Amino acid sequence: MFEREIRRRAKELLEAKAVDLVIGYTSGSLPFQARPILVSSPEDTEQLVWNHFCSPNLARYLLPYRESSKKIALLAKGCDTRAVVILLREEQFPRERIHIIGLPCSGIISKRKLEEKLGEIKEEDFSWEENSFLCQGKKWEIDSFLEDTCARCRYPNPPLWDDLIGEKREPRESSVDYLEKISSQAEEERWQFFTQELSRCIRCYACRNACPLCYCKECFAESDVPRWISGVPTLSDNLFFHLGRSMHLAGRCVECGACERACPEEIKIGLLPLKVEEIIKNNFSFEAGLSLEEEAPLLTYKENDPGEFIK
Amino acid sequence: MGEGLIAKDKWWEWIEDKKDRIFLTERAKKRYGEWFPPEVKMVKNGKEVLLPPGEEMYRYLWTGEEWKVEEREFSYEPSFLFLLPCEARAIIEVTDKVFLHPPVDKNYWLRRKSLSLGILACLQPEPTCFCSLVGGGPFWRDEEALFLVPRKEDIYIEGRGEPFSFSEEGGEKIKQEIQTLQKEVEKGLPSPLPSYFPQELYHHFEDEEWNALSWRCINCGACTFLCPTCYCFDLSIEGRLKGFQLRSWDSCMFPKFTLHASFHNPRPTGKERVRQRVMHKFSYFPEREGNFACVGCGVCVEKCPVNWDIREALERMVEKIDRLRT
Amino acid sequence: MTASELEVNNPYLPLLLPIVEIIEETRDIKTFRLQGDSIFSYLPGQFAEVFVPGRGEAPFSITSSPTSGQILEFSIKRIGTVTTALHRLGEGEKIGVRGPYGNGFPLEELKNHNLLFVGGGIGLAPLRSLINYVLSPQHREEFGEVFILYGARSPEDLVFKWELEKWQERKDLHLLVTVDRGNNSWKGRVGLVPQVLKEEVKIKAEEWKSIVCGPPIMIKFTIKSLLEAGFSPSQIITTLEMRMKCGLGKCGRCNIGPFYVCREGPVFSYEVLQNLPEEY
Repeated sequence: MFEREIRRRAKELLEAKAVDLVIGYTSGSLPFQARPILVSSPEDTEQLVWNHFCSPNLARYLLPYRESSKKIALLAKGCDTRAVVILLREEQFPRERIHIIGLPCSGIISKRKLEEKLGEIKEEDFSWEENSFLCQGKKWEIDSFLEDTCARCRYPNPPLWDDLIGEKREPRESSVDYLEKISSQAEEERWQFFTQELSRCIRCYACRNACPLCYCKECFAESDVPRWISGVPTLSDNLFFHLGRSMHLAGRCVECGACERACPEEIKIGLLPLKVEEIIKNNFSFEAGLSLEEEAPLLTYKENDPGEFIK
Repeated sequence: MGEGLIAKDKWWEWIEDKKDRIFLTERAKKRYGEWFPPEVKMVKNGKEVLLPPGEEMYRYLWTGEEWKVEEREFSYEPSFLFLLPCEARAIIEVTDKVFLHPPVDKNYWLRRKSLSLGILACLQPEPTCFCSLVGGGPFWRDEEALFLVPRKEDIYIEGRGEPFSFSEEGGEKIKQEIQTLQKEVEKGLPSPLPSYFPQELYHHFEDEEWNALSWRCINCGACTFLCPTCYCFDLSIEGRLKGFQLRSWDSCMFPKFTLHASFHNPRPTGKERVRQRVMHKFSYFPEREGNFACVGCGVCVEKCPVNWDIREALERMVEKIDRLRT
Repeated sequence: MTASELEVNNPYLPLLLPIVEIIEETRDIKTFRLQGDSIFSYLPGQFAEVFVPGRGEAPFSITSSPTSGQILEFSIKRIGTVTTALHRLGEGEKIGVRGPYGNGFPLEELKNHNLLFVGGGIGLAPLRSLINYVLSPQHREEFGEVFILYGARSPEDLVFKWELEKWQERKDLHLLVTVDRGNNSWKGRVGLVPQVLKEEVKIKAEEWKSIVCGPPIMIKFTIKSLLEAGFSPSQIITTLEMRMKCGLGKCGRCNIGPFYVCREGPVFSYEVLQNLPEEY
């Protein structure tokens, strides 16, 4: 779709030594999968790809370079860029070190949904467009195949960029918001749903490690003194971990869904931080990562902060 | 050691009778679900039965005057676990060797001796499977376990035990058919790693290849927790005046795995930890026990969030090793 | 896997033993002397997993020698949760002990040799087990000359001061104690252990074997000095520290290359260590 331009631009930046490294996506070893790649030489830019399976949030791969002095070009979707904005606001990097190649994104497609609707699928049967694809002689709109977090995405365009490759787009008019759906259920049903989902969690921390904003040196989940949770994935410890993580992300989560897509057990783990962000939005009219000048509500004090709970 | 055929109705009779004491792995259920009653308990893999994610090792209690330490008596009903050859190999060739090696791990031993294994032949390897690369195969079997090949109206069976009391003679023809079937299935699978691999891999400990290989890994525990052979665990104390020693799954991918009390960490970054995982499975364990600590089931490849593919890592190292040998 | 029908014991169960005496060595190191038990028989250089009920379990090298009678001694530095809990205990209280684990020192190889012990800080603890074994009446004749070089950061950091005095009085060994930094009342040698080794230990390497233990950096430089003095790697023996949990070679965390520190270690000859990856 815009792969050639991306490769050209990345090559330019490396050849001109404007950046030391380019972090992007390349094809995975399995069909319908892309994986992160680090490119440091101009010839290797041929390996960069950009398609509907570019699932990981690449901003996460900036984290190991906080202490270095390298200049990095990052291929970033709308949500990935929001994460970079927050990392910049939280002073993890000086602005000059990150060169954002912004990519307006039409959403990540779920392989699971493709298999459910189309049965056994082979890569060669598909031909991809921005908003649709051809398969088995039929044209399909991607809407019903998108990952749940992408179906409700409000910010497909990067809010900050040094290069923009692709066409800016309007947020999707989606009828399906899985957060709304679950929020509208009765309490009993919701509790059933979440306890069932979280009982399947094996506490591998793939969700946490895939998140660009979970970068605490020692995560509270692994703290020994004090010890909050054990190493066993019991329901109560799992609840503690996921609720705790969602709260630690309050006002910082960029709703990218990388956590949910990383989960090997396919648990709808994104729902929890998304709900917290909804609450933040309703109470502070704030959405994270949209501008370098924003002030995160839980990190700034304002005299007119809500205070009815103070009796 | 017998072999024979079990007619469908006889099989159902036998299995219905035992259904509360049968475990079936997820992957076996996907392929052979119709051969088992729906009440049969599904488990992810053998680890769930033999090495649960959390278990009590012993308990202690402050009586008011002194400390008392005691262990709970556990006993397990004899049960059956039906699983694929790779999953069975994970138990027989890896976890058994670790936990039954003296001093015998009592908890594991109690569960293991009451568990009989029924290996169901694998007739449809997935694109992520590579059991033959690491010394296994879709028809791998062990003399201590039952080996079953479900066909249309009957099941071919090899091994020892109860089912042979009501099986019929198979005969040479059937044996030939099974062998042909085996060859068919094995066709698409990769050939084994060279025998010099464990030793040569050891010499590549300082290879710069590890930097490139480990960059993408996000150091979560998905591969280790889902792997049927990964067995590393942690021991911790739960409870002040009354409590127990807890054994829980641990992962060599976590940073605190080798952290000393002095805050020195021999494996401080992801690179050392990824290298440790590969070296342990493909060099250290084979040097000690004679076979890889990987059965090629491909679950880690399927589930890794960033598509870290152990087959690629092995390919690259084999390439490097071969290049230096010539 | 035909595990016989013999009764299998739970190898994780600790044996509860009472603390008979606590010796305050330095401001953060205490030696705990436990009432031994005949079922816990050990060799110099082995370690045990010490269990503090309600707090945790951690591996410590056994510092007493099996020749010293029915006692079990650990010298423990207060550094984390378990050790802090230990330091709060009093005489008469019971703690759990599991073991002995590890390979211990290679006694047969060391017999009929002269022995040079080089210890740094609390590294003297595992060495002390072997030193007292060698010096015991039952075994003294089996070994040759004994030279003990021991150093610590300052006079206050020296451990086993009471034992050092006893050794000083013996005629069948040579003891040299040094500190990195002296104080007003210190009348002994001042200098880093590897340095003092180079300057003052003049021996013919071929007839000796050296056993070294201390902080990693001290071990590194001491081995360097020993090699320069003509010791071959097989003549240098050290005992390593590692994070260990099960002590049985099962939990998978203490390996250096294919060796588990809890089974094929913690004692390693430098010859073996040289060929292992530097992951310790």
